[in-house]
Amino acid sequence: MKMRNIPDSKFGMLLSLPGLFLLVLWVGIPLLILISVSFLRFNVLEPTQFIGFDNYIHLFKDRVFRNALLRTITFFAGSTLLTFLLAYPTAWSLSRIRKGGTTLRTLVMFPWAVPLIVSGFIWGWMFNAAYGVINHLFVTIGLFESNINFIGQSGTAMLAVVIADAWTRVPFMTILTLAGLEAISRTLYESADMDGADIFQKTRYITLPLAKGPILTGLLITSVFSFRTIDAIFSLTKGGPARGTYVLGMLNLDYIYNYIEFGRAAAVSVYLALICLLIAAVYIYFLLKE
Amino acid sequence: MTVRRGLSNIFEHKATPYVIMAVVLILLLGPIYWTLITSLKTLPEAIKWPPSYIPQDFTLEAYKEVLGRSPVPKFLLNSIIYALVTTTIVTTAAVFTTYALTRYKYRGSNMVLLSFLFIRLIPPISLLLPFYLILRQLGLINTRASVIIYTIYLTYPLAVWMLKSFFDQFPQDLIDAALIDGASRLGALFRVVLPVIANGIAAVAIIAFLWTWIEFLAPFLFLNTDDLKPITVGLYYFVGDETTYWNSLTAGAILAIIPGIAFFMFAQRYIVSGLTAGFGKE
Repeated sequence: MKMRNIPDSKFGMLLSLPGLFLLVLWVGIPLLILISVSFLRFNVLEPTQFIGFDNYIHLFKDRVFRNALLRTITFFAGSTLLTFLLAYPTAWSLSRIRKGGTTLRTLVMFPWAVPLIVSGFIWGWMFNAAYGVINHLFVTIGLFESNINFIGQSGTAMLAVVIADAWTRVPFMTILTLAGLEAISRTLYESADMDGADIFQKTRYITLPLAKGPILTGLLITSVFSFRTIDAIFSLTKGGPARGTYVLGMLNLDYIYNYIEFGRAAAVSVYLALICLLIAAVYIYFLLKE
Repeated sequence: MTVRRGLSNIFEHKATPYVIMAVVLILLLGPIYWTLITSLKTLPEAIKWPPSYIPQDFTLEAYKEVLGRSPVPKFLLNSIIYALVTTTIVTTAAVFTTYALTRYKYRGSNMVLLSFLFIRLIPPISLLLPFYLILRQLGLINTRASVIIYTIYLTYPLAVWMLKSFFDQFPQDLIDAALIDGASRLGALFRVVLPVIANGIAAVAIIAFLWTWIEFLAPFLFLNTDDLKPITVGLYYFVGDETTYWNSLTAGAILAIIPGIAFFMFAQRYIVSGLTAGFGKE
């Protein structure tokens, strides 16, 4: 048996070699190509040429790019906030429910199984100006006088895409928060009860500080994912109306698919990646600060 | 102060969690309910005003249309192919990689593990362009391989990172005992480690499957014939310039949701353990 004569460290290297190969081929090379292309004028009309940082500078000065950046920030911040506002009470309730808890946990997970592109269709249907159930509900309870064209106005369209995105992210945020809440020892709450603490004090001084790790991790993942995912926007508004929901990912897709300006697309992609890393860095700083 | 006490008492009440859950479930499951009942209506009833909250003409017409007279069965089959092939490749590769990286450390093996985490922070949408250019160069645009190559990139780092925590939890003593008994290092992996962490591997496989199943942008960009499209892209078949066939579209949407829901009904605990293992620890 020759295999047995190989020392452990060599064995580890050999066995992880296919994985490393995959890492280099699947991520390393695309990254290199991405960065190289971002320095090129690369489209169908003109000859391909090295132009240094021109793509980056052009985008930085471009109003479409800057507006898309602002919309992206609104979108991901809105989605993360809404996700947290729904997930925290859900996790808190689940942590207190004993009877039927398993069934409830399964039901809460369902939206996670919905592809985001489908979520966009579903919410588009529910927000529909002519036949949408949301209009019907709001008109029936007297909140609106007549139907509102949610998708047709940029403010409400942004709200609609945020809802469609956050809806599928609540389950994941909930299970992470729940894991954090359940790791906290009951005795802490019992002694706080004996001291006469109310729920606000207990949340502030026990729950939030002790569940900080999982909650921040959940927020990190939610933020990064909604920052970079455009599926719900794609099927709900296509970036409209009047570019009201036009985010960086949509601009990236347009440069690849419609304008066929690969150099610009690459520069947008690099900006996207850098901002994503920046968001992650902020969270990781807070996670490690303790 | 008394208002605060009162509020606190309300929140502390035994029934409060159930009330909150009732509201949450309406918000989380309402859209799925609405999609389901729209798919069980006729098209005229689907676009009737005011809408009916329970189908009056309960009908499976939309499903007959979608499964019988549209390319949806083909789309679903494609989705299954992409998801199964990706899951098989990724889970198998990740088991060996993770076993090596967690149990047989070498100089730099921790760096490799960390780079798997780092890769997860690079937005997939940023690598869409280079993948497109590479696949075009290789003549792979509009092939099944194009999608699978991309979804491997998408799921592999995730699979390694999730498996890592399952491998980490496995007691080294058991592996050592097997080695002393004469098992080879790979033998120990297959006969000792894998049977014990089988649930974890199942969780990773399910998550890789679903992650591939829901992917939209890459197949949208790489494919242009109906024969190859997965269901996420195929749903656009029902979106017309003039009319959208809402009952057929929602029927297709329900079919696209079913695998995920089924996995959650039968393996919820494993999936949750996989998800929290992959993210919660670091």
